[in-house]
Amino acid sequence: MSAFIKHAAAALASLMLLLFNLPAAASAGQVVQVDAREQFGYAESLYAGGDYLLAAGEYKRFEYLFPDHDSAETAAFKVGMCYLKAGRYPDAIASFKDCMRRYPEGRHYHASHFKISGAYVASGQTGAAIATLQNLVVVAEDVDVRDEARYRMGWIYIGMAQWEKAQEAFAHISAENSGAYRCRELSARLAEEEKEIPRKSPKLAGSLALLPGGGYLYCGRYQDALAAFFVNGGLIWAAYEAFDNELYALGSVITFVEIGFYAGSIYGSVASAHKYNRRNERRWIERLRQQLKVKLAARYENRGVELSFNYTF
Amino acid sequence: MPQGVIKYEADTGPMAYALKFFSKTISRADGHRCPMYPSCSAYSAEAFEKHGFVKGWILTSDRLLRCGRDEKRLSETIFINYQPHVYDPLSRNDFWWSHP
Repeated sequence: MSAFIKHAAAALASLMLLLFNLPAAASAGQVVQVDAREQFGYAESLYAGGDYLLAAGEYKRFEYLFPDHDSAETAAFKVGMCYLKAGRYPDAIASFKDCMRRYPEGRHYHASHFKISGAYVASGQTGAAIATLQNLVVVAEDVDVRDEARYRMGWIYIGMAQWEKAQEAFAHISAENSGAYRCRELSARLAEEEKEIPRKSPKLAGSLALLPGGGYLYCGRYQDALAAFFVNGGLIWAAYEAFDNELYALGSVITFVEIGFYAGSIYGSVASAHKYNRRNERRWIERLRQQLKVKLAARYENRGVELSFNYTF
Repeated sequence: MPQGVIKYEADTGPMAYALKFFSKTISRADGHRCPMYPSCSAYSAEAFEKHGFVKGWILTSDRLLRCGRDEKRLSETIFINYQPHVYDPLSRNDFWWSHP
């Protein structure tokens, strides 16, 4: 009995020792305190390193932990930038809109408009991009912001090959900024676009294609022209021979196939002219962009926001 | 299916069966040799699905005439399964009259 009491007392003592030591062991880990500067700096380092989605999470953490900090608005804006850089355009647009809603008087309010417009362009929604910029023209009091919105609008119209609307947008830029944006040169070049861009007439291509291969030949597609000529010529000859030999079923099948190829070569000729024109328009626009497009980032250098954007259409 | 490869399924009409027969029987035996992307059968299936029988037939004929010729010189090359292909989707051939 005494042995049992001794064992029980020893077990109880061990248990007590363990229980009293547990909290001490648990609190032995390091406690890290992160202040606003470090949290923002970490997000910035991820952003600079190209880890945009991780950076977005850290900017959001910053907003959550330090909602009243001076950089909270910048963090909200940078969330949108992260999504924009990562190519997640709907998320970027939603983030910039959220930033604008929460900070309507903030320093990133106008930049958010520009970025939303850029995200719309990048996702192929040029109409929404223009609407965003038109809205900015209405709400912005700063003439520089309005002019920049018009300038960007003009370039979106150029990208859409809507030359007159582009000219109109550039024409509305104020006289004080007109020189900086090289509006006169731009308008002159846009007025000359018809002469500068080589084009093929789709109607003429279609008409020439009545003789199979003629339309392709006109569009500079020599191999396609040869193929169209021989395929159509061969099928027409085969159909003629079939009917001539009273093989009406075979002749009908060949005629059916030939109608497709004949119509296809006319269609292809018209499409080739359109593709030729579009290809040359793109080249011309690219040259124009290289020669005359003003880099907008420099204008807002001191505001810490990059406002340049590139797009394809 | 490799990443980036588009599969078109025209699931209605006689042309769908013809195209399925071609892709699943003839093309498998004959080998995938179309130098274009999407392949002519995939392009055709999309054309029939998007534009119906008549326009689909015309677009298919046009594509067959152009397959592997001048388009190689005029369109960019992309790599599918490490093989070069000429990028010529339907959207580049119906953009001037068709809106999505």
